Amino acid sequence: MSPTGVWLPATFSDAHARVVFKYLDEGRRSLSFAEWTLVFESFGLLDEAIADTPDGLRRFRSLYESQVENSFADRYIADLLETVNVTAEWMSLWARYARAIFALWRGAGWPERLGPESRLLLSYWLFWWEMFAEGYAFEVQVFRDLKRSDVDFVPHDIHTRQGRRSPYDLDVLGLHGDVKTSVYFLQMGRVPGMRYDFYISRFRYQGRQRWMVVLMQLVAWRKIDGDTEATTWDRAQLALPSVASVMHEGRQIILVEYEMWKTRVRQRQSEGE
Amino acid sequence: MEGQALIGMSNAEFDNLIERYLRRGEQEPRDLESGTFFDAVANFATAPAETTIELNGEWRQGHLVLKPAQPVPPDVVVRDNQISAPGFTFVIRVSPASPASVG
Repeated sequence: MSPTGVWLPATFSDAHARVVFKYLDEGRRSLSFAEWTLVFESFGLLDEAIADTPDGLRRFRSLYESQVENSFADRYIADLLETVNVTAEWMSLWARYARAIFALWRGAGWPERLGPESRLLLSYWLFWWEMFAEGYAFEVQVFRDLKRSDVDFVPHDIHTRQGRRSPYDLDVLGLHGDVKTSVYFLQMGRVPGMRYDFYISRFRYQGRQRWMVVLMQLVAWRKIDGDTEATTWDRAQLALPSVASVMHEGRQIILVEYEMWKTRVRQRQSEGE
Repeated sequence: MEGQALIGMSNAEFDNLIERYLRRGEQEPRDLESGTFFDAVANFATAPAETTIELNGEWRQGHLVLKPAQPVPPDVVVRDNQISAPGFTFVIRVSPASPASVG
């Protein structure tokens, strides 16, 4: 039995612990692609870490659901929907809840009960909370913008856990899509790939410039249609704002700048598809 | 050991680390740089749209416990006898084998 009250999976190595520390200490911008992969691997392994709790042995994943998600998720979403400018306000809202999670961890006596490895439990909670908070802030931003832009769409219900777990985030022109932060694509890795017709996302270019884009399957693009510029993934950003088409292992994937996508969708919708 | 930095630091150092993490998070944009983003998208697009996930099951104190044999996508949660995927929760109940059902 571990004297600390935490049992880590045997495959959780020093390299995993180091990258968890780096994530907290230096932040996202310091991480390479390989380190990001290791970050997700680390927090994925910690799903299975076990803690000795007053209710018996519990996995970190289960503790996240009972202590963090059940306590804060619905309230955070409600607060997010109250914001006037979600883009400007969500980070301080995230931080307010993250501080509450930190206080809960300390106040509930996890450090005393589990010993220093309880810090991995808190790191795990904060990491997944950040993913959750960031993801839904982006969704709210996009849903509000689509509404403002007179795009007809059917969003999923983000108020409840059940609604949030719908198969896809929105329906536009009968196509199923997801609204995902750029980190999502790292998180998903290779399992499984593009299941939906389109993905709305966002990335940075040369530090400050932000691009919002829509990645589309060819079948989805054909509903909108138009000229495309053939390119490769490493040159895709340079093709914007033209519509970029990347032939990827025998499959054509379309990259459209978000504003242009909205214009074309509206056009299709006004024509009655 | 460097890997033990998080465990080995004092409580005050750890509190300070978390506070720095929170303060940075209040200001720093989260989106990935284009190079990392497109590397991730290329990786994502390479994967098949469907995949098979193998689950191993065992009985623990009379309850079925399922565990994925390999890492699963983040929107799939396997816990005890339940499998949750977007839009679905599967609850697996196994009846004890009876003589008639033994194949």
